[in-house]
Amino acid sequence: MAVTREDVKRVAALARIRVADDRVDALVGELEGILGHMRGLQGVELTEAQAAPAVAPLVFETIPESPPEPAPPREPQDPYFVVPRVEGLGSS
Amino acid sequence: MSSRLDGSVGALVDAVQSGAASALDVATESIARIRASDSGTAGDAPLNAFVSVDDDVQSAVAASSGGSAARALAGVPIALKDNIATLRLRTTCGSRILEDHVSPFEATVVGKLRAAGATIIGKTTLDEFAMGSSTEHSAFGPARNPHDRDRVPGGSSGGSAAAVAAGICQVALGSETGGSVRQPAAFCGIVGVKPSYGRISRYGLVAFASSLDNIGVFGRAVDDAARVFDVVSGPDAEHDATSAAVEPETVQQEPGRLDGVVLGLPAEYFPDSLDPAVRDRVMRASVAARARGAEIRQVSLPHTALAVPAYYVIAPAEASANLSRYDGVRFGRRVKEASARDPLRAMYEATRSEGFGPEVTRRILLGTYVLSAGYYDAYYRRAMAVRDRIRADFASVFASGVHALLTPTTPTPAFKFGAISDPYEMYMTDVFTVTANLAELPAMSVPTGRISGLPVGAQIIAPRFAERAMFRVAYALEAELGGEAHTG
Repeated sequence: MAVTREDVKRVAALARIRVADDRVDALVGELEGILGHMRGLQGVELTEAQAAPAVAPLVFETIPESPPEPAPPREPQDPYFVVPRVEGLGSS
Repeated sequence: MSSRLDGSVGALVDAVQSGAASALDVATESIARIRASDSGTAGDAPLNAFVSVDDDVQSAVAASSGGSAARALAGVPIALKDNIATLRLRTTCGSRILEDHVSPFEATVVGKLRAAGATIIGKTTLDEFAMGSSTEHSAFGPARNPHDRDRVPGGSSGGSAAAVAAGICQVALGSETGGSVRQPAAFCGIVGVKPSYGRISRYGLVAFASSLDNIGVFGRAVDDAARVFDVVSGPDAEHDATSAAVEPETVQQEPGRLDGVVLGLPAEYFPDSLDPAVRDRVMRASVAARARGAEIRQVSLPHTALAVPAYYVIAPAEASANLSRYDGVRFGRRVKEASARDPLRAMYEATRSEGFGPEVTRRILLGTYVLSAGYYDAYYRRAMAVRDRIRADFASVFASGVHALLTPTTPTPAFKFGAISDPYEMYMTDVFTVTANLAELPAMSVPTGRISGLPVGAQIIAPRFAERAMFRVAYALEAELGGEAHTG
């Protein structure tokens, strides 16, 4: 899992940091030098909990392009103003 | 006249409270000592312990209600690491990107210090964003070690340590993420305290790695540090990560005996490769503890060797997220660039590339790498698993009847400027300190002798929130060692 020039350019872009072309090779060496010492971590066994995905897959509900017609407002009954019913928000 | 600054915090507070000394005079002298330390008149290179000095002494004292009432730190001048937010002085974090940044709010610890009557005299030199072990990564020049100005004071809170060791002030605040208070305390021959995670509010401390960051305390002596510790610790409504659950318990106490206390010496902190002179000085502390009645026991923390690799995955990962806020939009420096295609992105990139120094850039890239798709499992997740094991190592030792651990603070005394150029070799100077951050434990360094005139520190590590017991050991060691703590 050696660090490549492309890796450095990719993480620099992700980090919004501009790395001059002549610095890329130096950074490859520096990161490789540091990460080389960290490969010992890869021998560490993970427990089931530690290996579990950190985040459950997200499911997004999409809002329909054209919302349904709102129900007609009910007649006000003194002394109250009745709020129009919004579909899908509770049962009352 | 011998200065009040050369005595203890307790004596100074008594003098100010009784009217024998004035907060204004003491602060004025403290600031004069800053100027003298930077003048080079004694043929020394400038100490450069401070990034900003509060020259308006009168207002600085007035901002602490004059320090005249019966307050815990009445009239005590104190220096703050320049990553702790203050209203009166800028907060640069030692970085070009925040060179002119003045915080719109003040850190909780600063408010507590002022309310206790302390005078904030200035902001001290640090490695940029607290990333470093020598202050060589400060954008405004490194601080120097008062014991030998060709050597580093340690880092990242090196300016605060140098200020205390040089006699400019008796106490200072620093911050630490992996040893940035204890290591410079050891290098400068003073006391440095890292609290349990959650004991001292971090509200107003500029974030580096939030799960590891702490504000810490420097003192010339144990009692000096204890008095400041008691003022700045405790729950904070502004900061949810400061624990409200622990019993408020002061650490300031009289030095006593250690009968019934079991101190563990972890084998992994005394490897065969450890400099015999360092081992010898730390054993001096062990002998002193036994003389005071403590039982010494050999223990083992088997995952210690993985602590530095785990730390240098977790800390840069968190830093890469925390430092993403410095993009030229809301804080500090903005570098505009007339780019044809994407001016916003060009502004982000130009600002960050010009604003951050090489070490911060390296750590942001490293942190982004270990969090990126494909490497998260190989590095970050494993590092977090190691962190769990290091916590468990400590828990099992403390559950076996050991009350605190005694170790070297650093593998060597202060090194010369430029002596360590390889980044990982520099990271290894934190080998004995990162574990307490990973396990969220309190730890402190106390002087335990010198090697060729250079100070050596012994580290005490205690169970979480057992600061009072940790200080009990520190008080006893200091009293028993006496002058030996500061001689070869």
